[in-house]
Amino acid sequence: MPDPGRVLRRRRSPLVLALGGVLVALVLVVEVLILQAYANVNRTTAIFGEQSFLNSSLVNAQREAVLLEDQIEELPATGDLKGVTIRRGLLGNQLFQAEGQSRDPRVAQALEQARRDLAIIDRHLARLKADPGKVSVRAEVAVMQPAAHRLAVGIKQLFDAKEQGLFGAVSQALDASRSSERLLVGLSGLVLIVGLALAVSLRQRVRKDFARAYQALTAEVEERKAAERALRASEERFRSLVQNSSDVISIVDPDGSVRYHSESVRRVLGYDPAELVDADPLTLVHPDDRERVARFVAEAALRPGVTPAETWRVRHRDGTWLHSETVAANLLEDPNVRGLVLNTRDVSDRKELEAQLVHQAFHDGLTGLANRTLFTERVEHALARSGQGDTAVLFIDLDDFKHVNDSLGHAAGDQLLVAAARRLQGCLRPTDVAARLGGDEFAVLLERVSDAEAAAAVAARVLDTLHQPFGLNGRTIPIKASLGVAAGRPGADDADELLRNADVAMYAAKAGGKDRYELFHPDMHEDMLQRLELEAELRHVADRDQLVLHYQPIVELASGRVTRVEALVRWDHPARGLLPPPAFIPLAEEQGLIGPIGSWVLLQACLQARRWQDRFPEAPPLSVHVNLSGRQLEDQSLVDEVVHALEISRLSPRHLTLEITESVLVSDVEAMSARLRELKGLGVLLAIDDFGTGYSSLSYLRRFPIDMLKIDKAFVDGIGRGREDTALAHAIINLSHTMQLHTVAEGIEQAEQAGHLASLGCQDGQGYLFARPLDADAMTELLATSLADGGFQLPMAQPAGALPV
Amino acid sequence: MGRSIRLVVVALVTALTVAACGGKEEAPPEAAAPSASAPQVVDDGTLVAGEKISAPKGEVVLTVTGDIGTANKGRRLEFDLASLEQMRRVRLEAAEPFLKRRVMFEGVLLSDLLAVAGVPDSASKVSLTALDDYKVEFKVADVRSSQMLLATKADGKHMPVDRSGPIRIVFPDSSSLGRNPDLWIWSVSSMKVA
Repeated sequence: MPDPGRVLRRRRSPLVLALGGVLVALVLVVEVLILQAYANVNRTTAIFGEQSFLNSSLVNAQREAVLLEDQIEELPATGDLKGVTIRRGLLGNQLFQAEGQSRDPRVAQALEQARRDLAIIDRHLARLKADPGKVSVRAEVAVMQPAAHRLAVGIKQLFDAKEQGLFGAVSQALDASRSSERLLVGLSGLVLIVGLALAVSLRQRVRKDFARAYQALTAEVEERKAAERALRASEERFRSLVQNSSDVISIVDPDGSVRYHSESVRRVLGYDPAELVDADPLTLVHPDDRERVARFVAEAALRPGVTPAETWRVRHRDGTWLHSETVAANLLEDPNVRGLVLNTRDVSDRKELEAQLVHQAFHDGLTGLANRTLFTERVEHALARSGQGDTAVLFIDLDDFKHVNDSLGHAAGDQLLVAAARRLQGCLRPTDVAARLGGDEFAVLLERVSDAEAAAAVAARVLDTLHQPFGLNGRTIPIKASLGVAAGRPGADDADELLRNADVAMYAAKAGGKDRYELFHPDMHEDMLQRLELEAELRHVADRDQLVLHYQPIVELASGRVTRVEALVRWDHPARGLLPPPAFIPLAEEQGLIGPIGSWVLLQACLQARRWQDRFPEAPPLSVHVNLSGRQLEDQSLVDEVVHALEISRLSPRHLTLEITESVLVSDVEAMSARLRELKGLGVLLAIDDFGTGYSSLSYLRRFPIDMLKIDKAFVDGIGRGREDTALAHAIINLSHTMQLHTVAEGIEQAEQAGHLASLGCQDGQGYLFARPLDADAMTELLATSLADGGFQLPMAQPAGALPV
Repeated sequence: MGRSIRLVVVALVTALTVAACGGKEEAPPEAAAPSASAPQVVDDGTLVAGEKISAPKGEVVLTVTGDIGTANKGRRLEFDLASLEQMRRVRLEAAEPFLKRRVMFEGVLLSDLLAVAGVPDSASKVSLTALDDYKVEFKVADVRSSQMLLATKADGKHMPVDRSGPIRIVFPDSSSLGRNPDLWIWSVSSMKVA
């Protein structure tokens, strides 16, 4: 957008400049010429005047001279001497005057001649006057008359000459002036033409300038219009923004009275905007917040700019309270507003969300109990408080929860957790805090318990409450847990330490057989450390060749021959020596490390059995028993592993017996039944280990494809001591016979027991009476020494009735 | 651009104005140098109005006729130089139009002469005739107002005929009549009042 004033102040046009220059030059020349012409005319006039003056003098002189000549000629007749004298005086006067009129030498010469003639006339007039009688008038006249005639002629000649000269000069001057006039006219014409050209070019320029200026002006007007339109549009946009904003926009005077509320106040607060104008807005504010709001407004009025957001509660027309967030912009100095602009929005949802988030941050989503963060904080709080009595923490871990989760699904697991949480809370005082620390871990904070015993009482109560049967998926499951109890003194102990202690105690309870509680004592830390160490080492036990298999023979009671061996795993710990399975197998199961150990055991046992079969081909093939843990059975890859071990060892399936415990069969009947059938399908034999100690249900003997029962040592020990025990053993053996199951008695230590069992019909026996578990070499040696008559006849195991030495 | 236009216009106007003024200012070269000189009385004289004028003893230089209140020869009133010079004499420096120089004249005011001659108020015209019969006519009122002089002397000397004498009419510089050289009648010989 060119500035109109700058458009007009533009560069000069060379054409106009040239024309102007030419015009000025021409005008100056014309001026000079005019002045010159005028001077010429003046000079001509002067010459003319001068000449005419001279000429008139000469004309007069000529006349006087002629008259004088006449009078002189007449003198003899008239005698008028006086008249001649006067005439001569008049002539003299004329000549005198003419003398001063001209510097022309011819004039001077002629006048000189005239003066000489006058002198002649004067001389003779004087003689006549002096003595008129003595001189002859005629004679004097005769002298004077030619002089007078000469005078007249001379003057006439002079006059003629002068007159001619005058006309010549005049005509010359006129000619000159005429030519200069022609020049002037020509130049004037040129001036006119140049002036015209200049005028035309100026007019074009002016027109162009005007057009440009007009254009610029129009453009500017357009621009202003556009700017106005934009401004109007922007205003409308802003108005629409304000009116349609979800925020309430209010303009408030510094004294706090409201001048304007935007339309959205209707939606947010339920009021008509007009209702609230001029009302005291504080009446809508929660009474507890009023002072703060008044201060907020007062402070916003103090300085220009925008305040930080502030929240308070505002009453909706329906009486509910909203949380509002307000920002104030001080526009008191702005002449268009002259007030505070408050921007208020309903943040109730956000507040609620915030509260929810805070709750979530400190609570467990599933059970609604406090989470670890809140719990730790509460414990710290309790410990920091200088209260009476101890603060105690219970650490609770559900037993075999993973089992439930894995077999019944996560939804069932969650139900169990919720039920456990509810029960937990049910047996606590209101001041106690229950928390879920994660997974199946719970904790309880007990404040002001008199001593650890009191805390232990609570732990016992918790266990009892949990024990009550819990219906899950149509089954009734008891909830079992291991508890650790740790007590701390306020101001003395640290929350983390206390929790850790309770945790350690809980581990001790787990290690001590689960479903129980333990009071923390400092030694537990040591146990715990060892346990942890063991755990760490256990991870690599299979890789590091620290596992060893021992074998215990199983003897046919009737013949005393070794027909089978049970493989028993040992951890040949570099520091602790040989560790039996209970020292590390539960730990391995718990840590999920049983897989590699189990595979190793299975394969090694099969290989060894095969080796013995190859070594002693003359004896009947030796069978091997391998123990399977529950975890192994749950693993789908078990079947493949068995197949693999058999393939590698080339051992016949019927020479492999897998031993499982009763408890394994309880958990998921369908899945377990299927798994066992699969195994059975391979051709291996299945034995129930420790029969009679678990949840013995005779029904599973029917449901599962069992081949063999191993009677627990507890029953064997009782044989021969009392009738009831013997009867139990008898019943089991009878049951086996009924179900066509092979029976093995475990833990036989005395020959009487063996004899008794044999008489009851028990086929096989196992125990120290025959042999302790031996390593492979010792076992080989035993087999070699006992090989006789196509069998392994143990020396101490004589046929029934024969007592060892 | 506007400035150059204005320049041209100003130059034009100036040039034209100068030209126009030049025409006026170029006054005729013969314009008389203005002189504050006015007739100054040299001698109050003895011959005043109402006095009887004796007939002249010398050569008569002026004969007055017509409507006059006094005469000394028949009905004519004649003066010689002496009797004229008995009247109040005044001196006047004036620009002589024919010689084109300033001359100190001396003589009598023509209005004084009219008074001495007893010319009545009713008279309107005065006709003057020179020796060569040249005639000039004045209104009496002009004579009275213009202070024209009937000179008898030029530069302190009486004037012969061949020097425009013996008497002649001269005008003060201030007189408008004097601008016309034809009215400067010389060698006056008679005057007739009507």
